[in-house]
Amino acid sequence: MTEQEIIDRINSSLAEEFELDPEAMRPEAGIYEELELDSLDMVDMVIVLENAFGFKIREEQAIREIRTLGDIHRFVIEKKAALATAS
Amino acid sequence: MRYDYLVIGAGASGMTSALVLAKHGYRVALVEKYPSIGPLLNSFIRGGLRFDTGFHYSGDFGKGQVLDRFFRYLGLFDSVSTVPYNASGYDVFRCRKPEFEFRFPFGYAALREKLLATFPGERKAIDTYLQVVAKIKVDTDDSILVFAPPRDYLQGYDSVSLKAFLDSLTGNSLLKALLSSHCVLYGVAPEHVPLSLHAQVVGSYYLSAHGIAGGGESLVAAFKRRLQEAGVEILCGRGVREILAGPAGGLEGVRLEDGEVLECRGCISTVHPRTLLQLVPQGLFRSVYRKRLTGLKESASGLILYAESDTPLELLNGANLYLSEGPEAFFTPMEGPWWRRPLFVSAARRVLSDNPPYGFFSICLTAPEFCEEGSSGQSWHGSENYREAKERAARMLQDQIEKLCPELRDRVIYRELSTPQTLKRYTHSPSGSLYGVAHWVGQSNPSTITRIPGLFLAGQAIAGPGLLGVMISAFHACANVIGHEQLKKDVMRCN
Repeated sequence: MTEQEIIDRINSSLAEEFELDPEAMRPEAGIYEELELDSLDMVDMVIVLENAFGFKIREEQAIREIRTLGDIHRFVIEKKAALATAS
Repeated sequence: MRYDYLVIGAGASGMTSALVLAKHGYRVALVEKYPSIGPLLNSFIRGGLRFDTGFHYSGDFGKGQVLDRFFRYLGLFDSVSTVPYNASGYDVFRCRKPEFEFRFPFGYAALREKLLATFPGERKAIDTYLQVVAKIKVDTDDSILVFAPPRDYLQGYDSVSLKAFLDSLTGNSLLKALLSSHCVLYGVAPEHVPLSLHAQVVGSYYLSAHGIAGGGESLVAAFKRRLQEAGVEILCGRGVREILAGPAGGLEGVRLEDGEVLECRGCISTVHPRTLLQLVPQGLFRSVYRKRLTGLKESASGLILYAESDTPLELLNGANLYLSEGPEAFFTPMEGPWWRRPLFVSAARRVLSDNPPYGFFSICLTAPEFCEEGSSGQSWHGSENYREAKERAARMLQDQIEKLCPELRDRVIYRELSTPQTLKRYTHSPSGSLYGVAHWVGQSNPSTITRIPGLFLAGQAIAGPGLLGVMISAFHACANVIGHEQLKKDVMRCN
């Protein structure tokens, strides 16, 4: 999977599951401000990402520190790279 | 009629929520679909015996423990008292092949000593197990009693199952079965239950086990008295059809099934999360949250056999039995032929005097869909109708109980059998499971807070099963209304 494919999958999964405007899915979009998610939505966001990529991330500290959509892109790209190295 | 808060569902979590809010000066109505409050906590009477259907015994009633504090705070001890089980053996684990019996004593130190004497080669496994369970229990109690709002909604996930944890400690099947036996108290197999939930439940029993004098019925009466004293309006036989929200999405009231509208500024829902989805207008919850609630797994259901005896059953005086053919059945308590699954047996008492017991009920875990036509390979129906299948199942369970516990042979008359269908009918649980939504490895159960301002959730799906789990959820739901600091101060003041 290329980085662009990862980003596309993140954007389409989140846009679909959270009923977000696909146009709003820009890397600089703040997940709380622009995308209007709240701390309660984080649980569902983690579930969506886990289902989309088949990994477990709920216990990772880094997922608790994301602020923008770009942070999510970077987190998933790094996570996938780390898993590829480990296997 | 306008209320400050409406509480939907008058089980233990609903009664607790209504009482906590009313104690803080809110005008509260408690709405219950069943004709009376506490439907599952109540009992039924056959042949002069009182059979409890929901509440049987509980941990955490020791001085200063969580339930003890909650009961004191709510003033429930004015009308009910707890009765300790046998301190040297409140739960008796027994299997036939190999022939083995173990009696769980009160207290971690006594339990450790007894486990070490029974399994002398397993010192490391026993010590690690008890240390981990005790630590989880202490940490959980600390966070419960500070009533802190969750800072991290991702907390509560637990990726380690009880089975994985036990497998990492020992290969001794008997020891693992013994430590898994309490899974009947939450209705999830050791392979799927998070270690954290198991530790919360057994961690409380390892300290002490108590019943309530007069059973669940007297607890309901105590709640009723306190609810009336606190000015809570109790509306029974009134189902909620929908939750009403204003144009901005804020909660405005509920419409009952009979069409009446009750206005309120907030609501605590204690109904099953899937039932809640039917009450909340489309568009107020995100579809991803609806999907999560729809996909929550159910705990086990069960067949429950009720029996009485002419002679006192001393065996069950202050003790429950956990019976099985062999240890393996405790690892997969809902697999294989249902009549070979582990059995939980607990006392039934005479209406006028609690002791000694003159009867019992026995639970055998099944899938919730057990009695449905075409359910997988359990030969429940076959060519028979429901009543015939039920009678046959009662005979088979009876044979199994007497085989595993010969002391009961020829001493008991079997009165009733309840099935998942019975549970479904009386508890309005959508599936008829024993404990509603399960707590399951990797699953994220809902929290007390929702996206709808003023709508909070309580009930066993939120914090855990049993009286302890549902009361924790209720206090935490109310803390969102009252203020976490305030509620903590009030509860901790009651010693």
